Amino acid sequence: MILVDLFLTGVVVSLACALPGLWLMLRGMSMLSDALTHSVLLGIVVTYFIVGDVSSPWMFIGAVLSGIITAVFVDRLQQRNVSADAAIGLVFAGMFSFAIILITQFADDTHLDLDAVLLGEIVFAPFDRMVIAGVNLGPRAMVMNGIALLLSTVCMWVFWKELVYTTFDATSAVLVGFSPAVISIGLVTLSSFTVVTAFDAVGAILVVALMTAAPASAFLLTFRLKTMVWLTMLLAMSAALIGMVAAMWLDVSVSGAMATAAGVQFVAVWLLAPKRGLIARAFERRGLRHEVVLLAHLMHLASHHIDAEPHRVHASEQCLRELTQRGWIDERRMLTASGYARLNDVGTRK
Amino acid sequence: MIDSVFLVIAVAAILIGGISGALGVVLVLRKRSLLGDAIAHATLPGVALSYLLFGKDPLMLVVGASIAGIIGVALVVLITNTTRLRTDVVMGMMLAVFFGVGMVLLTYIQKLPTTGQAGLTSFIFGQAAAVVWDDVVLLIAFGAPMLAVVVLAWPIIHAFCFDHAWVEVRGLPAFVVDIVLMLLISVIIALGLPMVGALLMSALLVAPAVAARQWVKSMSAMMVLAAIIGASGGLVGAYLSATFERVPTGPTIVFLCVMVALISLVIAPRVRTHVRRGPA
Repeated sequence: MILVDLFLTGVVVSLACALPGLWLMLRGMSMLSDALTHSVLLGIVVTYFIVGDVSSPWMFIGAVLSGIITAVFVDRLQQRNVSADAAIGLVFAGMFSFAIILITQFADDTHLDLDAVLLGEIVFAPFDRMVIAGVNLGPRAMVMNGIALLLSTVCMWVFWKELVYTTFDATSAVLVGFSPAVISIGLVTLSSFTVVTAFDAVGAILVVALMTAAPASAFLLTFRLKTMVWLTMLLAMSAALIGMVAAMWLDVSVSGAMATAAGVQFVAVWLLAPKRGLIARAFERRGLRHEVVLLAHLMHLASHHIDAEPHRVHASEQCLRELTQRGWIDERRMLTASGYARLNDVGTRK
Repeated sequence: MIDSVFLVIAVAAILIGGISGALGVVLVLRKRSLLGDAIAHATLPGVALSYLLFGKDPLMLVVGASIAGIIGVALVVLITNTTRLRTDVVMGMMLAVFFGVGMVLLTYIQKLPTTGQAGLTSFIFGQAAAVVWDDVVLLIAFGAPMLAVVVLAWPIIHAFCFDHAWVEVRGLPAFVVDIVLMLLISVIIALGLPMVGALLMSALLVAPAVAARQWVKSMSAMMVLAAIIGASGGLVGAYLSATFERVPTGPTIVFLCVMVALISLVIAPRVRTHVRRGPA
């Protein structure tokens, strides 16, 4: 039962992270997920000092607020001619280091455990149950991330048109009357919410892996957006399951194993993807090279066809054999009708 | 009041701040600030593996961390060059995945019956108290040649940051320059890990450079100023954490440098970075 809860939690967290992660990636904002996971800690710490309770809803509000502040700060710095990457690096480092200083200062009377917050241990998730009005709803992490997942799914559904427009064609989005800025802020808010719920369960660093790896893998597999969304969900699920099974088997950090599995899965896609994978493309290049050599022979033979002395052409035996097999030349090395047809096709795609 | 413990930490902090401040200039000018973050996270599996193979030898830990960092950068470049993915998503993924691999290895190590592995997690958050004279010796041993490389190859590095076409036209191996610079950056990150930790080390590269960028025009001046800002951040941070109770050294140094950068952004006069076309 605990195992089932753990697996369910892992899958739900992965899905909840992957969905906003996909849109962040498509909009070129992936590193923001890294910044958010670090800067949100400041929101949690500050709210903790004000409210004094780890599990109050105020924590979420504080964390989401600090996420939005991060995005706004990064935007402001960019307007001051700081490049986007330096701005992100600066803002999250400032907020994160301040959070750690605060935690260390008041370490004795804090229930905030730095290791747990950042490195996370999902193994304990099934023991922290969410009980409302006496009804046991399941692990808190699962319920919270389920809410986040539901929220992003609904938002994606409702605002699909706006998202697609502002992501891929901001100019015409403005013309149609969609504001890219509003959609961006909405996405950042949703991402902050997801980051907070997720890193409570699996730790900050794994959240970054979950938000980037599955979308990046799906991106390599298809050009179609809807297919990409489904593939992202599928790959997020499979990486989570593989990682958790491996972690159980080897008895190592579950969060770490899930991140590792996501990475291994990406490398597998990168190398093995049909058509666009590294290996498929290498084969394709080799095939193309061979085709070009064959065509060069065919052209050479054709040019000697005119002076009717194709038997005197110096040519590789293997190529001649293959040309004959394809029916492009006859036994006197004269081009056949289909040979000429192939030559006429050169320059047009098959 | 200057005791030897403080002296060690202060000297190490000044050296780390100074060297990383100077080298960070390259990252910021090349718009690769986040690559430092990726390298810093990617070092973790290197630290863990080198501990598994060689035990707690500070030199081997630095070597292992640097190699892992370089592999991380190489993978980022390789994946970006062979796919349609943007660099940012590849970097985010690599830093998180490498960190995850590091976590797996660390949890594996913690179950080994050998003793003395307790200090390994300090590579994540950094722990100034664990810094000893050996680390300072390492910093000097690695820092001096790094400085020499930067000074000797200055024209190439300068051109590499601003005029990529020139580097290629001159027939200089831009690829090699890139690798050497990334290697230097990996090494200083690896050296800074014990004190500042993997999570914040990249900020020590970026913040002083961004701060210096606001005050000066030339790259040499920027590098010197960034080194000074980094070193003073190190000194003041070390002093604050030694004087007051429960002030963590690494995060304080980083926080100071980020504050200097932010304040510089607000108050520095706008330095013209390019010649403005005059009227008519």
